[in-house]
Amino acid sequence: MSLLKRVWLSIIYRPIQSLLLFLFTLLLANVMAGSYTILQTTTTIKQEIKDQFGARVTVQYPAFQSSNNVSLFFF
Amino acid sequence: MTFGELNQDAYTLSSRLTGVNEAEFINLYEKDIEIVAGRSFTEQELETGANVLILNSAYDQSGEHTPIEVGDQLHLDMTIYAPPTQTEQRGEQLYQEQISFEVIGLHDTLPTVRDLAAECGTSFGCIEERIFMPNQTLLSLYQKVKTEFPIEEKDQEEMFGQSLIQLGVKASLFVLDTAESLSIFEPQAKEAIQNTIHSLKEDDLIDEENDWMVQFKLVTSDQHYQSTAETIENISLIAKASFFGSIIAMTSILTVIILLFLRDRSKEMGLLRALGERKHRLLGQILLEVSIITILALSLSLITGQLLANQLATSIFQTAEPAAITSTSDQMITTIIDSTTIAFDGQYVFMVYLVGITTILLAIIFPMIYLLKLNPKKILMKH
Repeated sequence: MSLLKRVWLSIIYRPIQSLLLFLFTLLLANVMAGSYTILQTTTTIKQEIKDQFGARVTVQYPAFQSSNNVSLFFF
Repeated sequence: MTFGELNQDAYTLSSRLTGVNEAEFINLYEKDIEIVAGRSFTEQELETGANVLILNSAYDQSGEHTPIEVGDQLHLDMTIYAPPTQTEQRGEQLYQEQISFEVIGLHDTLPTVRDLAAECGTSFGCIEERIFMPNQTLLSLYQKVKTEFPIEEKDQEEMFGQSLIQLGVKASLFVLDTAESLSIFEPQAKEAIQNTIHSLKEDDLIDEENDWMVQFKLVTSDQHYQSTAETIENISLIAKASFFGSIIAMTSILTVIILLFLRDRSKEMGLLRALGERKHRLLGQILLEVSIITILALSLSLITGQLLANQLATSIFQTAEPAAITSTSDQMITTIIDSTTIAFDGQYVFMVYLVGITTILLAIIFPMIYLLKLNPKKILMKH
């Protein structure tokens, strides 16, 4: 009997065992694929947010943010 | 058109004047405002300090509900008064000059910052109330006051209790070419700021009382990102933990299952070995059996995993969206999240198969060792 035929018969003669292995793998692979997809999506979102923010530096000067000393009057 | 009787006090109006040095100035760049009519400043206007300005489209001078249009001339009276006395709210008029400005553009705050009460807290007024003009124009006004009223600042302070005019840089925006440059720029900028503070202190220009004036705030887009995208970072961490957790769980659970199944088949294995079957053919058989079943499961999980992620993503990413949009960053994050779709691409398929098959191969190591150690004599004697 060829190896492939033996493998095939072994799978179909033990349907419960084969089905159990299939279901466990499917369940865990779903978790893995799902979390990978979410990870991939968050990476895309993070990169897009970073791109939108760009490479910028803002220096704010507090003296002139809270100053109430402006005395040039316009009417 | 004359400003005439303004319904706001003069101090508020003067403090709204904001000088800019670029056509796409900081508030346009950060999308706090947009030009709804007309245009921004030209290079020439910025360089020469032309009498042009951009103001809010809803600006209602003197409360007459007269709409301001692009091309209108605004005549501003620049007036200097003596300090208020105990009886008079406003002192004697010392100087007055009318200056004309052309309205070249009308701006409107974007919806995201329109209701920002916090933005109105500074003396510079709300963004929507700002009147933008070239830096050079603002400087020439300053020079004019200095020429017409040539009193040293310290004397002004003695006379008026404060200096007559104070011009200052509110914020500087540095746009770098690449995000990588941030890590080089940031320490250098901090060092430059520290050196400035140090030299100001050495010259006794800064003491404990006015120390707050040099508390420069340096914000990089990276810091901005860290503070605004915290939830996304947390989701990313949880997804990473779940991904690696599932790999570990898959390896260990599959190892146990395959081992248990092999133990049930020990008699079959012993018989095959006694009949002269070679070990590597037995190993090949088990490997093939497990591979066929698990690869089928992996293939199905490509679709179901994606469906699961789609369902989860909707609720997960909703938590990452800001509860209330209080800034342009919040608006940006919401737009990005809303427009992001979950991709079923080659990279996803490749990664699921790569990680899945590697995990299965890892899971089969122990059962293989068990199989290699099988002694057919002992097994057959037991059964």
